[in-house]
Amino acid sequence: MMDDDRMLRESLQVKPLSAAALSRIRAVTESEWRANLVERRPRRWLPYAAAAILLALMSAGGLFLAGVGREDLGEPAARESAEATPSASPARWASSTGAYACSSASASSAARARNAAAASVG
Amino acid sequence: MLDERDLVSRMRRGDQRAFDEFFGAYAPRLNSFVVRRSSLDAGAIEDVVQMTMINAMRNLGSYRGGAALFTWLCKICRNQIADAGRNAARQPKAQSLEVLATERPLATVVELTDYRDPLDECDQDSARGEVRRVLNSLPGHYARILELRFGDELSGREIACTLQMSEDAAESLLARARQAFKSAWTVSLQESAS
Repeated sequence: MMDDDRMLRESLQVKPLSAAALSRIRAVTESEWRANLVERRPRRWLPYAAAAILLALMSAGGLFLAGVGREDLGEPAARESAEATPSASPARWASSTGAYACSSASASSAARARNAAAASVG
Repeated sequence: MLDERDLVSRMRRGDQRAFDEFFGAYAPRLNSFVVRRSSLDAGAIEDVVQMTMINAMRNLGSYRGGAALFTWLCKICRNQIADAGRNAARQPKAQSLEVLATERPLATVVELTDYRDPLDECDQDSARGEVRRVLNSLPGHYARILELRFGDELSGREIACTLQMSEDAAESLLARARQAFKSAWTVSLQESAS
């Protein structure tokens, strides 16, 4: 076993790299390290950009879906809100119903005129 | 003892001190690894260490800390050693002296730094080559612990620290590695005798 140890010791002893070789390797390695650092830096914003794009897409989708759901609610919703208003503000209620009555009155008079014209033609 | 995950994350953030620590700790160890595991010449060894370091820097983002940092580096290094071996195999085995003389001045072709007995050198080289072959045939953790004990001459405590295990576990692993080496060495001797 001692002979094996001695032989291993003699065979595994290594002459170290010369100072010149070490400094050559160091210079090349360091420049490669720096080059890779520069290449890696700009990618740092990538996850943030991806998150922002995802958020924007989700918001746009949400707004679109909300718009689709309320398409048929225009006039009935306005009427409902107008009907619900008197307890809150009687003055506005009066003016808005007046306007509505006005518009419905003018619509019914126009219908009457059309009927009369049709009767005279007939 | 380096906190390897912390070291790597500091390097990813561009911390110069982290890079210095990394290079100081791992470049010499990589050199030892290449010398012990390959039969490459000094220039090729330097190339392998350099390419390993470059690839490590390129892939630093993929290191998750699942294995020890040096184990991860060794994995890269093994591929580089294999590439260097393939390149060396493609080179012509012999060159004419005329070609050498035209490519390089003759003064640099013959470089005698100190005299060594060629037969001793040859014996030592063949013994080293054989040890290398046997080490490469052993499981990686056995070869690694033998290198730490007999190559780097680390104590049991230092080995335990490096391999991130208890001192008792390191001693037990070392004993098994020595036994495995002895068996493989005996087989190798028998093969070369027959």
